[in-house]
Amino acid sequence: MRRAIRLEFRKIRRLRTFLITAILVLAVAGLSSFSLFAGSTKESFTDPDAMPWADLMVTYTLMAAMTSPILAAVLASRQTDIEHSGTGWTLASTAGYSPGVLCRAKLVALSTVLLPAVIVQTLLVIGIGLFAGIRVPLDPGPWVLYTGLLLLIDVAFLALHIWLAAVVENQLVSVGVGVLGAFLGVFTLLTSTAVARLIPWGYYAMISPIGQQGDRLVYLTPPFGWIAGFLILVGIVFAVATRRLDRIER
Amino acid sequence: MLRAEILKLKRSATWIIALILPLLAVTTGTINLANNLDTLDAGWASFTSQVTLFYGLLFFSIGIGLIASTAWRMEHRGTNWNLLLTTTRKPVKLVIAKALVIMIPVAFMQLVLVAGTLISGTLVLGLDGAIPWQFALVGAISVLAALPLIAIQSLLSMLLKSFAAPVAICLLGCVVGVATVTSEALRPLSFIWPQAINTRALNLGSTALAGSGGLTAQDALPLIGTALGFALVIVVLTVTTIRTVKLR
Repeated sequence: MRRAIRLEFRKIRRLRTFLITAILVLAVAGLSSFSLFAGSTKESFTDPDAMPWADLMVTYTLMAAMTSPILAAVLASRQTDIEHSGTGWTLASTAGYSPGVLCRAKLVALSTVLLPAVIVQTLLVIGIGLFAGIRVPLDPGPWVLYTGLLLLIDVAFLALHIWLAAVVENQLVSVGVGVLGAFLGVFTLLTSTAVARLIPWGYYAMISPIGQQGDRLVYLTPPFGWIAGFLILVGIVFAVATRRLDRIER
Repeated sequence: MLRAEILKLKRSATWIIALILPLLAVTTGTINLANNLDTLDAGWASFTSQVTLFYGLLFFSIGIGLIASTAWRMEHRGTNWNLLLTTTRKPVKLVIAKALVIMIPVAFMQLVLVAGTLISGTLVLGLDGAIPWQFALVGAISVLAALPLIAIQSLLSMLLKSFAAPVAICLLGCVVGVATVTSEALRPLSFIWPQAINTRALNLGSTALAGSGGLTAQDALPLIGTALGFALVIVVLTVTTIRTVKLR
């Protein structure tokens, strides 16, 4: 397995995955903090009651829900598509790496790329907030929590997309599902949590530690039970699905 | 050349995306309006704005990226690329045929969006007032406004073998587009940035986006003009690329 992961890193380097991830991380961070530079928000920066950090968090969750599904789909599809176009499945099988092992190695490798990416993304958003002039003290709790959960959900979707990209050769399916998912992710942020629970991409909304009560923003505890259940479910599905991949004749 | 392209298009899976994406936009717009009837009380104007808001900012452009990638995907399979380069037809014919073949599902996508919005508005939401037929005009304008992006995505999908890479670049373009549309300082850029042209076209007469312009000849014509001119430039660029750059 360790060797298989190292092989995946070689592919990552040639596929310019680092570059794509870095650019998209910068883009998401930029988009999330864009509203900070509008003239009208400037007055709230020194007023604790206006909760400037919570405002920033709301835009961040929206942008993350909108772009993360597409990022996961793109990374997974690129990493998996090369096996289709270069008969990599057969080649790897003869070298002792079954398709299932290959998929699991891909998940581990891509997750390791995503880990620093998501952390940097959050730090950038906070950094731009400070740079823009927010002087209200920052409560790091919700930010740390959100970053951790976002990473976990991203990994779950990487797993789903790697599987999809491996099973369906036409990459339109994997990337297309990611795009539709992004749409649903944004949508579930705007509706009730009851709907979000049932839609996989709804979990981008479920992990948001911030909500609206009347006209005010309030910090809330995300429903950990549901989120853990979702992650475990994805884990089981991925384990079973990649095992089944080994038995499919290509 | 065009006939061959249409044949490929017929059997491709682009139609699914072209159908589901606008339907999702209509569904989410409908639910969003039904849940917030007190704040979004301007009837049809609110509804069409809700439908086109996220669709115009991101998903319409990404949809075009997906369709363009699909249109070029088979040329990167097997020995199709060599076959293409050795035809006796002129490259410009290929470039235009590809653009048209991308444009057809895009037009279909807008048709679904407009029809879905009008149907949902009358039957599901039961909105008061006359059916806003000018929304159909917005749909038609946005197809023309999409031409520069269609041309660019077609060029990118031709150059890049990977299916997902052009879509990722398109996503990045959308991010820049959102910035140019929402920021006042960068707003002039939004008339020449392909993704932003899309956003502007879809939000003509919208109430959800500040400074989006009305559905008037004064606001729409410059948009269409730049779009057509820009698309032409990229088509020429694509032809030159085929002629001069050795791909693969």
